[in-house]
Amino acid sequence: MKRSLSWLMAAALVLAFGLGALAQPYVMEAETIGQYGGEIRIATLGDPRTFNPYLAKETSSTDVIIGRIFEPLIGRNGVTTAHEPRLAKAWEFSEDGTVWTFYLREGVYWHDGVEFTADDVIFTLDIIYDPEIPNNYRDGMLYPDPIQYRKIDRYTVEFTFPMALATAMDDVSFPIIPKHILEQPWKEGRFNEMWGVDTPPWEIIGTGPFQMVEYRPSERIVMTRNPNYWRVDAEGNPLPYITRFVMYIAGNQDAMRLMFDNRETNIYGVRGTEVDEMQDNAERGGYTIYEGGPTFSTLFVVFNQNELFVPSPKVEWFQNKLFRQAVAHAVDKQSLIDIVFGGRAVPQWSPVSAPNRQFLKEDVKTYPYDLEESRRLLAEAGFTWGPDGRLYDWNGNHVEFTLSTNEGNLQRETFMTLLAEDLTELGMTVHTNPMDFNLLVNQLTSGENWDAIIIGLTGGVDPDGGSNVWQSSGGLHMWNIGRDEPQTEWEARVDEIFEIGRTILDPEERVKVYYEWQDIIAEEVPLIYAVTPLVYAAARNEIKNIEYTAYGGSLHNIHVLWIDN
Amino acid sequence: MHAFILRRLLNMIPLLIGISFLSFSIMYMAPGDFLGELRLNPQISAETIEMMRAQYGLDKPFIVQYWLWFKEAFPMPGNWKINLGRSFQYHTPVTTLIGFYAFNTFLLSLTSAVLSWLIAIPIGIYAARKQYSFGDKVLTTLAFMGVSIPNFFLALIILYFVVRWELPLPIGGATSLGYDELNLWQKIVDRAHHLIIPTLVLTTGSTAGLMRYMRSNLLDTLRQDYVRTARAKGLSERVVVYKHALRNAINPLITFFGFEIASLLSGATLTEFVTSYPGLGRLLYGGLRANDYHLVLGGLMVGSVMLMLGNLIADIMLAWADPRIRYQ
Repeated sequence: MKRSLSWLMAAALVLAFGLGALAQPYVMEAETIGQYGGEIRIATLGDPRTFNPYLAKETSSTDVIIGRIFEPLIGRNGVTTAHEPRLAKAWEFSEDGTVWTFYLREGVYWHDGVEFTADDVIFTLDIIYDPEIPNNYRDGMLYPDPIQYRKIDRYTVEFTFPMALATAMDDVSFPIIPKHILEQPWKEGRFNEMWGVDTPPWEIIGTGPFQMVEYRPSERIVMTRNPNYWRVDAEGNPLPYITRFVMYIAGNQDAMRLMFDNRETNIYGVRGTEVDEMQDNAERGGYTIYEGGPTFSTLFVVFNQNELFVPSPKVEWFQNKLFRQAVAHAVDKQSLIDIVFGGRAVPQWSPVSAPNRQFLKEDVKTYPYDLEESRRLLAEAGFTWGPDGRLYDWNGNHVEFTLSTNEGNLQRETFMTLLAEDLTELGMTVHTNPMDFNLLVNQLTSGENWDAIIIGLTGGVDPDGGSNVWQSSGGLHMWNIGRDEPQTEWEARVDEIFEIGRTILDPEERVKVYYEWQDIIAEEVPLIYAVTPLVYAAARNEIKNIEYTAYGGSLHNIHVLWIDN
Repeated sequence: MHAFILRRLLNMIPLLIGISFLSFSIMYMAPGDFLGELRLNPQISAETIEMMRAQYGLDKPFIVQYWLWFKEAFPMPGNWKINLGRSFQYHTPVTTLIGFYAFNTFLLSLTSAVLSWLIAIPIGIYAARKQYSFGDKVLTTLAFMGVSIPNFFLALIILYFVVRWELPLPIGGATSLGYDELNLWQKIVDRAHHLIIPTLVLTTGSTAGLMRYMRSNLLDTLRQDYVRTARAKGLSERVVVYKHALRNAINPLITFFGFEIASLLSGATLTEFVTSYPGLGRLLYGGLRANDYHLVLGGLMVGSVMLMLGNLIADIMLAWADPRIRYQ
């Protein structure tokens, strides 16, 4: 703890002395110093539903505004995932880790020229904790009490957490909104109507590197560079370099590809199955393909272990660790990778996603595809095979269950088919059941009417973000939902780990705690993970300084991207 | 005639209420609601979801939900505006959203309708008059191809060749970057430029169908006794075909025209998706996928009104074109 504190103080001192006290620009490192001008054009699927960050619920809205128009106090580096200052230039916490002081960057202006101050931070917290405005930032900031926050001076705020929290820096990464514009509507009870898509785009005021100038529904969003932005390059030139940032809204994935081929866009997220073919045409098309490594998205099968909803004898099989491990050995990850991802995916074993280097435990227990091993485990658990080759449990019941997933998702449907084939090979009868997504979610989150489900979740960097899944009382504790108490010893231990984990401030010590959780999950396999796709992007060769990663994407350093003519 | 129109217009009111109630019931009974997707987000707690449900009125009984929508959607004492309800996703009146897209879809459908009628009618007449000639056979073959190629497939093929041959055509959108700075004439040209691909796709199918329709109608009438009589009277072939036969052959097409009006705002969804054209279909399909009842209902209301108006206009035109038809 001491060490991180002093490092932060040092960083603050460097900033204060190195660059002068009044304007406090932030130097953004990049491979090359750029030239001004040009534009980045990308295509996305789906329209924003609102420009109000506290009403936005879907990525098609947040992708437009977060980081481009609105910025948090602290963010994460798109490459290293380490925390780095944004609107707060420095911060420190008290010895017991509960009181955090944030020193705000001075000389930052809203797009309309008004200065950003501590009042805006306080106002944003008022919004987050307003019960009339249901938003998902509040969920991360109730412990279960809200934090106490106060303004110390024009450029300093202080947050008091109910306990020491390792996740404090993530929790305070909410986007700051302007008090001078939104306070009046909020007091009149109109906050939930503010900044809808019918607002003139230039009235959406943030501090970010871009200002919105045009939104044509299902067509495009156009942003121009913010001339007063606070980041500078290594030579002190103001960022961003590019004049315009354009997001086209395409009707479908194929149209996105065609737009790139037609040079309407200059950056494109490449699908795994397209990589080889696009690689062959890269020279002619004048672009480069970048690999970003594995993503945070997951794909898994989960068995319903809740005896309140699953009748005997099924539930006894699902509760049996050896049964689940046998199924884990029957997951043919390589075929899945070849069929669905064109070979561009990696197997997943730990509940921590592969790109999360900081927390990932590499040597957890693995379950290579091996039906012989599955048979051995099933026999050890007391299952037997009849003369017809069918699998029976210790009471002579034939092993038969339903495996569901949502229809229209190629990854999940292929996984379902492959797994069902292998389980049939083991003598089980598996009814595959592709169904409506909403119905599936209803079943999954209520615990009713399902045996096994294939689905995916998107993880984040900090494991605590998944506490809703891993802790017994969590709303997404899928295999044993709706329980206040842990049902098994290992679940009790996992609950403990998450309680402890979020209060440890020393990063190294904290990682160790989550190692134990990963070992438990790999041993008990409540979720049997499949594979994680690798991600790729193509960008025209004239775009410089690209540092593509699965975490940050191609635009996390859009400030320093430039066009070489 | 005026009484007839008035009666038909008044009839629309109970009909619309009935349609909205039925549609609302069906959507309500379908599994899941607008918040389904959020429930799979580990960062959002069940309490927040419950608060959102309450905020959107999704926790209320079916009939109350319908009434809440109804009250906001239609003119009522104290609130005479029609806003078709407030979208869950957008927090905005549905009429505002529809307004964003209606012009684009209208423009596309109208262009394609006008084009297909302008092409299909003369070709249909030609094919009927020259039945079984070489020209008729070529046109018939083309028409069958046009009818049988699905819109989305045709669109993909066209888009593929646009990119392959580097034709100077845009892949999506209805306007170019910087559209707002153009003068009126440049704006028209820019719009037309963006309309080429979607219009081509939409027109191909409808022209083919319409042409076959025109051909067979005219063939039917040309075999009627009164045509033979007209010819026997010694009238010129021109007068026989265009004055006697054609006016009778066009009647069924007027009904067709009524449906064409109805589809002006709703007939191009698939084409809009494949060609990335910013039309109403994309808005409403998005609403349907997200279980945004209010948005979908708003779209259905607009579609229903257009259908009823289209039918009414067709009926009026029929009376005008055919003296035998009279309304009381």
